[in-house]
Amino acid sequence: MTAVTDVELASISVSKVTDAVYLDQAVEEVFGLMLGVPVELVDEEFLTDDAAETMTAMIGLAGAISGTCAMLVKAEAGVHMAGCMAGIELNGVDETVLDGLGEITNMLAGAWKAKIPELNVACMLSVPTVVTGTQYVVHRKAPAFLVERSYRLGEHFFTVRVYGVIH
Amino acid sequence: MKVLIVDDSAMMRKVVERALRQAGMNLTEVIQANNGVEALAMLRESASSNAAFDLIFSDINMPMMDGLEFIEKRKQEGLALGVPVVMITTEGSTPNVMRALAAGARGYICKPFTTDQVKACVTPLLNVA
Repeated sequence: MTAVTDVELASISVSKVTDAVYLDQAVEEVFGLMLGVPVELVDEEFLTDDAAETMTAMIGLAGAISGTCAMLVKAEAGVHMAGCMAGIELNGVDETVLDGLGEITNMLAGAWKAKIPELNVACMLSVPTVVTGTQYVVHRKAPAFLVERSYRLGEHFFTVRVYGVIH
Repeated sequence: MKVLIVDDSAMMRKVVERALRQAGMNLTEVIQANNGVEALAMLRESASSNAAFDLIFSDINMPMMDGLEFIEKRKQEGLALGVPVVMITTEGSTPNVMRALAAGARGYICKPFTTDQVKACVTPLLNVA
């Protein structure tokens, strides 16, 4: 494997990884190309209703940065996303939906890091993890960087977060 | 055309198959494997039964045995060496591409992808295979 030089690592800055343009572009590409649906950036923060089932799909980032790329959706939005990707109508949360959300998040993480050349070589992705439930909180250490954006997909909303530390 | 699609995600296997069909490929048989271990077993079986694949698509990031190790072992064992292998992955970094090509991959597609990209990658491989 090609070694990443100190110069390359040193050039990864917080301002670069927190530039939301990269995340917006990654989201637009993944949803446009793989789901065939447009998404729209929204200002509102994604909020969970107390009783709403929520899904959080996560990809671990390792190497030049340690962190997580996470997508948060309500269950009905997740079902809609997975249905768009599969090209079929899905009726509830099942293995297909969990698989689809994991893959969408995997592609988001991959597309995001590919836009930052220094990360594309030096950052590796884990296999996906998807958490489902109601009224849960994802705890994390105070990250050195955080980029968070919310989007509208038809009548649904979702949030994507990338956070962690730079080594 | 008989195709082997290797990916730990059933969703992605479905998406790849759909992209191949939309690209105009005449798929007569689609065999699926969850990881490199299963894929190697299928190549050994196809070799013994003389039922060769025409094309292999493989993800890289998979449990048990990843896609790079799969095509390296395929090369070591001399399995389906004449069959074009296309890697299809989110890991589009240069070292991964170089390692895949060194192990015998003939194409490399990064997710997310378009049907046109799949067609542009696969068509020349089938014409010369």
